[in-house]
Amino acid sequence: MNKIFKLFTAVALIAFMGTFSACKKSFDNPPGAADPAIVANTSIQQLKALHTVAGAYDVITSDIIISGVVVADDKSGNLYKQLFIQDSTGGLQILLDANSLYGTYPVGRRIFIKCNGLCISDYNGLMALGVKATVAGLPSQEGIPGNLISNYVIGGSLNNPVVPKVVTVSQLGTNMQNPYLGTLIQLDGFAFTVPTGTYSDTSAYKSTVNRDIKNCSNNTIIVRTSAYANFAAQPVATGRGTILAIYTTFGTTKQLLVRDTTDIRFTDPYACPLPPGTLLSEDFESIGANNLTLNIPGWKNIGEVGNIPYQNAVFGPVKCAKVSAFSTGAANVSSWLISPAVSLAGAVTPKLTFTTAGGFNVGATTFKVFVSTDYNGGNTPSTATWTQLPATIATAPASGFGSFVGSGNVDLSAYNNQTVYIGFRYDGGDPGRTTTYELDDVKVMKN
Amino acid sequence: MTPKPKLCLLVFVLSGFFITGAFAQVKDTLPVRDSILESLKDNLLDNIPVISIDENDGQDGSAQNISSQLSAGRDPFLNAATFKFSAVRFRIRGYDADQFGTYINGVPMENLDNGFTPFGQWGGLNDVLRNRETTIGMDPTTFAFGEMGGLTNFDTRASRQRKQTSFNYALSNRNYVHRLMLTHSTGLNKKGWAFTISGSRRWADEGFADGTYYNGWSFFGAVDKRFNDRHLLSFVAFATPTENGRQGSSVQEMIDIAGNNFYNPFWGYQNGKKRNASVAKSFQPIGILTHDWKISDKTTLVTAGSFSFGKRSLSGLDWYNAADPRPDYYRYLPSYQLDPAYAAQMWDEMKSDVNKRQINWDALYNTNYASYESVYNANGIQGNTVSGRRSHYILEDRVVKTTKYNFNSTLNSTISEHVIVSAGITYQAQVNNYYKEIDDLLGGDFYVDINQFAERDFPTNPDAGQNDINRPNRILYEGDKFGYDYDINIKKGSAWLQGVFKFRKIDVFIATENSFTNFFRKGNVRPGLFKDDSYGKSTTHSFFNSSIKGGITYKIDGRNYIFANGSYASRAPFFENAYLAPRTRDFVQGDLKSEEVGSIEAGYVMNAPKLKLRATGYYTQFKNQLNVITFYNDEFRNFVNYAISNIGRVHTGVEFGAEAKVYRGLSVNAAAAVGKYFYNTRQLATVTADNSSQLLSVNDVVYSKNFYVPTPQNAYTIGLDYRSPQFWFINVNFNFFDRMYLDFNPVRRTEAASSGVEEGSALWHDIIDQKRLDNQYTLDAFAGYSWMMNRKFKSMKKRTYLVFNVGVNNILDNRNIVSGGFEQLRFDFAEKNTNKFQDRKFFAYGINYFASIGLRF
Repeated sequence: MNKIFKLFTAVALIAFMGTFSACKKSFDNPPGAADPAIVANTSIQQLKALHTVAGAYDVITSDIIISGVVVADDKSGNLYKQLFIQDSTGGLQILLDANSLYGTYPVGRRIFIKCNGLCISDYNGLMALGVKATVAGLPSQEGIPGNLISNYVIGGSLNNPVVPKVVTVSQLGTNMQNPYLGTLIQLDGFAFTVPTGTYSDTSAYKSTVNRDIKNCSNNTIIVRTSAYANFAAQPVATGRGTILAIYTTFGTTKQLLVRDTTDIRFTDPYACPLPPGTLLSEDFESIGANNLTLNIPGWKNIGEVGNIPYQNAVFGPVKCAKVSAFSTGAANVSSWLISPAVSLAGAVTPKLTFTTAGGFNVGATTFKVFVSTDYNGGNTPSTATWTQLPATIATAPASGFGSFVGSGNVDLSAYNNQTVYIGFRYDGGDPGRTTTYELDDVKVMKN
Repeated sequence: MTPKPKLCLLVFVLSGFFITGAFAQVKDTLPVRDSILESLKDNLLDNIPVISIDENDGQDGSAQNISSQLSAGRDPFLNAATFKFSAVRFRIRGYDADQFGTYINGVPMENLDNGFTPFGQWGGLNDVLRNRETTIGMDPTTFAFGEMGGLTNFDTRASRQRKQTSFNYALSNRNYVHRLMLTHSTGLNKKGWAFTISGSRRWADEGFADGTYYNGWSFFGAVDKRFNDRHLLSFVAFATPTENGRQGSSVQEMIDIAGNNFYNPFWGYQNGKKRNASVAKSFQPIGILTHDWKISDKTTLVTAGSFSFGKRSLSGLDWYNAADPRPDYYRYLPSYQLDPAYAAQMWDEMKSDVNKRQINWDALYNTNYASYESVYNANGIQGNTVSGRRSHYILEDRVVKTTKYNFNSTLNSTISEHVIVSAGITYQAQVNNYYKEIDDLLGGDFYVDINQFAERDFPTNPDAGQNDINRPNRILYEGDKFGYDYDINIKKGSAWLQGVFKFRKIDVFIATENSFTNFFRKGNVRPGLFKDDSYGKSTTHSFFNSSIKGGITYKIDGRNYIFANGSYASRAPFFENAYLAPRTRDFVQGDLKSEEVGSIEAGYVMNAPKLKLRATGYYTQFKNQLNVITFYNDEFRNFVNYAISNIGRVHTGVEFGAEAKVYRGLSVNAAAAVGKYFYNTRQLATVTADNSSQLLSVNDVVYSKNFYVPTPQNAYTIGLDYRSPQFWFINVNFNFFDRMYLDFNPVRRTEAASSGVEEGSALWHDIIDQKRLDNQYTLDAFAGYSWMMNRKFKSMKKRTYLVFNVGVNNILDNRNIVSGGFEQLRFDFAEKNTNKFQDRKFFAYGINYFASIGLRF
């Protein structure tokens, strides 16, 4: 009994020891972001005005404080070690020597920068705020060193909206002080000039890539994308519409930086809206490099027999479509280029016009134009009903190319109020029927 | 002094062939009950630094990183090696921990995955671990064939515990500050029952190093039943749930900035409270059932089985598309700045602002607060979108769940006056389950089971980033498993036989062991990058191994002995060294074969009343060793694995220990270990990254010949002991350590690392040469007093002692003792800048103490 009592006592004592200093660790969650008690005393525009000589390193020696909302961060990887902020007067690139900045300074966060000791300079016309560094006797502008960032940059509240300014390309100047530089802007009605390929370099070289976008008034501007962006390998948007971007410049070259692909809202059809009275218009100006297979959004390019599709033709300023059996080794070639569906609803005397040119006339090659109302959009157009249209087709010279010849007005009145497809068919063969034909400026007019 | 290898082999062969008659060695292998001094020293040991050696350790079986392999008996050398040399992580004969074995009540305790002994599983149970049998080197034992370095068997059975109650409180300034310990043993009663219970709590709100803490419990229960003279059945069970915030090594630059050799990069302030990111937790209870059967007066059979299960974990930060949160990341250091003015400014800044050199928890939370994201096709369901605060930083637990069975049976029989035969069979099975678990989302709503680096590297392969394509885009909450998840399954069976032959002048023994080991990996998830090489069971790898050892002792007289032992063993590779990257796939090293170890030792022992002395020389050669080193490489932003093969090592040297009684209670002790531990082959390195399916390099030659194994090659101590007849003692020792080296990075010794650098130039030497550390010294003192209270309080019936102990280590407060360190495993191949990824070091504690007061009755 005594033993049991002792055992019990010992167990009780051990349990008692547990009541000493419990050091179970528990931690409160720290508070979230809020605007600090700091007031900006200088606008971004005023700060930028201090930098007047391109290439100079203007170290700020007074207690300037600016404030702005982050409009671009490094989340997608298109920007690296930099942010863009803007206030109501302008935008500015901020160089910070740290990565994954978006964790601390995401888009929409208001930040305050104590500029005393920082340096404002420009890289080929684009102004940035950073530090002046001297390495091996050479001055340069660098990002604020990682562990010093919090001495200069103070984070404020989150999710501050910034409304992009809707602008036109001509409003965007390349003067260092241009108020749009470094800000979030919006352009409407743009599309990639060549709507194929990826946003940036997918090779091991990881080069940054400039892609042109263009509106229907033929204003172009560059969209510049880093190969390190997480969307670098995505195919570019194929439609047309609105783009949001940070406006930057490199010398006199205007460049846009998108934050990610959600900035590219090209959701409208690629084709430019047609002028009144025009039902179809294709001038082949958006095609890519010479001799590549022709690829026009909405058009079908089918090498139905012999698998010889139409190609891009680019010579001098001229861009058009071409097709030839020459040197293809295909004994029989039948190739179609078919327009998108054209609605003739409400047309009065609809008519088709186009131009052709021919070259290196060999044998009984033919180039004909047809119309169909029952083509199903498939890859075997010969199964549809096609009616040949009377049009003037260029006659090819025996060597070299002839001039473009107008088709004359091809009347489509018989198809009023119907939906039609215009098909261009090339018939040839190698060898013996290898004449080359070129096609340009296809139009269908209401009257 | 050092014999030539060929000669050694010859001696070994001779010793093998000419053993015909025989014996029992005289050296002290009898169970030893510790004196007060030893028990005090034990206490010191279980409270030595907890240091992270690399990101991946903490897998040595314990939350507590106990460096010492052995508990000393009365051998003066062992005593020194265990207690006096521990500050610099001295390893006996330079051996790895897997060369030392530990048994408790007859069952082997080592982990089958790496051969280490999980000392932490019985930490804090000092009271019940006093009965032990220790051998050093290749001496024969009565309970196992043994390892190359030595063996310890603890006998914790209730009937072997002294009948008493003891209550003890200790105060220290090391890992823990307070310890309470209570033990009660009943002794064997008339009905044949004996009980022991013991418990302790060790804790510190902050340990020696900033930001560390400790909270450990230990529980022990034992019951014995003696059925008659022949049968004793014993059961013991113990558990040590422990949690501690750890100290990490760091680079010299951070140490200089912090102005503190004990700078700890693992902690930071959260809301003004210190929080440690590296928290080790461990709870792995064990039960052992032992049957001791005295078959006859001359023969005993001890059969024991054990079962252990539980989990240990180590926490750490993980991050997704976010800046590296570790404060001593090389890009955050002043040396990364090109402009010296900013480097200087940053230095000042980091010096004056503690938050800039510690983890900024508040910033991690704020990043997660600000992160509103949508995950598409969440949980693998098309069109399912989960939106919210996606954590970019989390605290993860890297968990190892272990289940271990051991069975062991040992027969000892005295066949004649001259012959003692021992034999045993052992079966061990272990399953470890490795996975990661979300510990804390740090203010976010969820995390996603995605490998961002594979996702980034294979933008066109949507599967590549998935940690488990069976459950893609899994949304994770606290407590969820994620990342990797695999089991290892190891089984080992062995049998051994030993004959000890004793004659008047000569004792001889010979022993052999054969074992069979197999293991396989089982993947529980299917990572996108390794669809076909991860999920399910891998090939089973099997090994058959044999070992033989023998020895001879010549008894000059009853006090002077000369002995020589030799052994040759083949050993299956450890699981840990076999798999290239077990977290993601089941590839093994190309040349997966058993390693071979040959060793000889010879020495002189003197056991005179006034002088105890032992001097031993040894020569050991390891062949075909394998190793896998894993570390975090931020270039890959993932774990990179170096699978090293063809490791050959030579360990040779002399050990000396002596204790001489000088005058009355005064004695002098001295010990020295003078050795040379070096690699004697060119190793081959195959490099893989967890997030890349490619072999980054295959069998790169590492020019590692003659590099040193990083433990002090030389260690010396000399001291004085005084034992008063008035029941007190004092001991002072001065210790000196020489020829210590930094662990080296194999890729820095490849052709690629030095190509283009002029041979013999300063840079070339800087890249290639192994770094030698400064010589070090420490001064330690111990004192104790045992007061028998009955002398004062005559009314007390029982003999009651009040015991005071105090030990002070490193009295001279030498704060520059680099107790270990390693070159970072990254190397700047492009610029050959050896300072870019600086060496990481850790330091032995400055002056530190351990004082206790105990009541025994």
